[in-house]
Amino acid sequence: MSVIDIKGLTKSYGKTKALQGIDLSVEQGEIYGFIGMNGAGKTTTIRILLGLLKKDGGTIKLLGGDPFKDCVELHKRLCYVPSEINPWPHLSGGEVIDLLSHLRGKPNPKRREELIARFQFDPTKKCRSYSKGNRQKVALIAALVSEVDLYILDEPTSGLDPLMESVFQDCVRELKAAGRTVFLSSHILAEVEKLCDRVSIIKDGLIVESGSMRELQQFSRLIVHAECVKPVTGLELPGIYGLHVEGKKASFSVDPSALNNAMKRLTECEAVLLHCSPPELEDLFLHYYKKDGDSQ
Amino acid sequence: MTRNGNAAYGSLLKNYIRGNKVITLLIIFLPLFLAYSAAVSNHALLHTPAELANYIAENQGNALLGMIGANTIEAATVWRIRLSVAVIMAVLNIILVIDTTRKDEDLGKLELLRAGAVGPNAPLTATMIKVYGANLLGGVAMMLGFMAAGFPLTGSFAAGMATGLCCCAFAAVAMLAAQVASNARIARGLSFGVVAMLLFLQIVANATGNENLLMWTPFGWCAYARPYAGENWLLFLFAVPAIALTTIAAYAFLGRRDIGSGYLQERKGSAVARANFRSPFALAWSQQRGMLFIWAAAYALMGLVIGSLMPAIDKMFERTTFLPELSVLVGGPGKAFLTILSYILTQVVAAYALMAILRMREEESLLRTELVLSAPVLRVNYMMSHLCIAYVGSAVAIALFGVCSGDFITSVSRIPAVWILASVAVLLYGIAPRMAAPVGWGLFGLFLLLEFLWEMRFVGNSIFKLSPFAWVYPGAAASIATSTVMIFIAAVLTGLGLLGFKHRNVIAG
Repeated sequence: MSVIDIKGLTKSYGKTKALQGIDLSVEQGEIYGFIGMNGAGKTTTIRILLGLLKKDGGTIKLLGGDPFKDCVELHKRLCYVPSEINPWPHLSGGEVIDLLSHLRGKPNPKRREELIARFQFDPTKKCRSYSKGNRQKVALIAALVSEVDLYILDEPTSGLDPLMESVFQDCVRELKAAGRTVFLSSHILAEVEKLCDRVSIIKDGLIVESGSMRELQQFSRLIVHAECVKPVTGLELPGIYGLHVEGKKASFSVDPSALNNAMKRLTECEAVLLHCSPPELEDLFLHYYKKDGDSQ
Repeated sequence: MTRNGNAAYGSLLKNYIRGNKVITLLIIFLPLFLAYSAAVSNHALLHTPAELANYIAENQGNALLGMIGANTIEAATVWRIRLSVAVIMAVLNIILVIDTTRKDEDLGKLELLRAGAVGPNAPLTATMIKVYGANLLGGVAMMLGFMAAGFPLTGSFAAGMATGLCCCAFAAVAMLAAQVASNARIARGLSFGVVAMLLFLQIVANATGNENLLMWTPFGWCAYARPYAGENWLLFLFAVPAIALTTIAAYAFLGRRDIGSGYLQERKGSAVARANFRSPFALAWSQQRGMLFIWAAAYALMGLVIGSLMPAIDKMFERTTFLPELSVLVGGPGKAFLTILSYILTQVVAAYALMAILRMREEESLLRTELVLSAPVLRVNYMMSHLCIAYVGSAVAIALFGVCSGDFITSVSRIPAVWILASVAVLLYGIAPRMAAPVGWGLFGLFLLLEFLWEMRFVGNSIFKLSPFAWVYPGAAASIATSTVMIFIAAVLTGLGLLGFKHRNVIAG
């Protein structure tokens, strides 16, 4: 059963079309990456999922229910980490964690202690004196301490240092191992690449690509760096993009169908070094975010 | 390297002058409008010496408004409007100053500015120049308003400048509060606390007839300057240094603190929440109880002071004809004074109710509402938590004043008027949240203005009755029927507001 099932979702703010027909499906037990630039519609989609905003059109099912009408029942089964959090300045971090997690039911106090220790968090300070990273930890701990079916995380690591990011990634892997579903919105592509089973790329309120990491990589160009004995010439072939030649060195990206021709030319120049890799998520991402006809 | 604490204040000033246009224009032009209209209306109403003498005899020694300085129409006019203008201007100044100083700092705008080539004092300096400038222009405008109605220059100048300086004093208080408090809300609370205290001091000065005491509260400055009644320029020797000292104190506090911090030292919190801290109501209560306790304590205290002064006040009014009609209605001039005071305090409590309700809007724009509603919490329960505190809290403050002053029944009968204003804010929050604060406060101001215009006989009874306060105006004893209707209206508006909130988008920012 799909945990999240969205078809043709639209939402406008006045004249601005935030979502122009999103299709998305998240299965039970997977970590799903939702990537896009700021303003692409990630947070709007999440706010609709949480029943905070009403959709304009399309259908949306969350854990089998309607996110707006059934929000109280559904929220017992999900946790949310916002991209921006201003916890109540007069409360301590520990009090906010307890308040938010107790609204959801009875969290395990051992789990709370463990998370506070792992994130190296001081729960006794008043929220107004926390830095951005520490405020983010409040939201993260409050969400991770509850055992629910679905975790909706909106850029959860903004403001965290690299060490804490890796603690966060461990926690997400543990959730997956325990059979939970994670919906991770992010623009930190390395993080999505490391964690996610499947990914959707959103641009201007539309999903421009989605699939597993491997599927996404298959359909796209390979990145080639080569060094030859002779100066490299004659690589201006169809299917080769972003060619950069510097004497005996060349780098370019190439369609899978044009790879063979490119290799032939490189062997004619007596290649001594060849580095050929599938694109990283970042290359894919940039590909979709560059205007059509732009070579990379 | 040169160190210029005010670097770039000029460019900031250009920006600030354009900001908060409505309030700025009100500060400059409202005094002109009020002065001119009051003067013209008095010319029309009191055109025979007998009418004038009668009017002055009836009103002389009013404990709220103080003495009429001379037996002339000019003195009577300035007497009538000086306190209203000062109170309206004080509120506008506080909102304006704290919006451009502490609120910008809370929102991180100031940090952005100070990261540029902007001196640490520049934002405060730019604010000061704008606000003091606007207030002094307002003073000049008031002078012109009186002169346009044919009043002499010297007295008009004294009235305008004393009022302008009074406004500057409240701007200075707000600038100081913005530096002492650790956020805009506390700064506003502190400033309004000072307003209440100084207003109270003004009443004590008038009630005891101690003219020297008037100098110590800006609300008394216009009376102390004696416009059209042998001007007392001594005021300026006192007022200008007082404003300067307060301003210097603001700069001193600013120079000694870090950006974003205040002087109310932060205590460490508890690592775990109390066992019963797990509902939207518990959260709302923890946020709102501080403000509620302060209001309740202030009202109880004022009630006690007035209650204990009642015998003296009764005696003072014994042989006067203070508000003859009202005195007959409520049983004596002392009682009449108490009725008016408790009526005014009821109106002030409406400001508390609005603040308590608009707190939800603040929560929403700071994305905290979203955080609570992402948990299994019914929207109606969330909203009801804040509403209960606002409705019950405002009623408690009024009731406490009533109990302590001995005017319980009349005080309590006015509560529904406060609830009506509050329920309009609730309705707005439910269906048009971005309008809740401007329209809510605007309506509050409009009701006060309607009352003022009604008292000046610019508008008739039927128009004044549009204001809920008209139905509980001193002397118009609220009947059970009126109260029931008012409670019913408030309940309907509140219900519609809840329904609206249940079905609307939660708005970020």
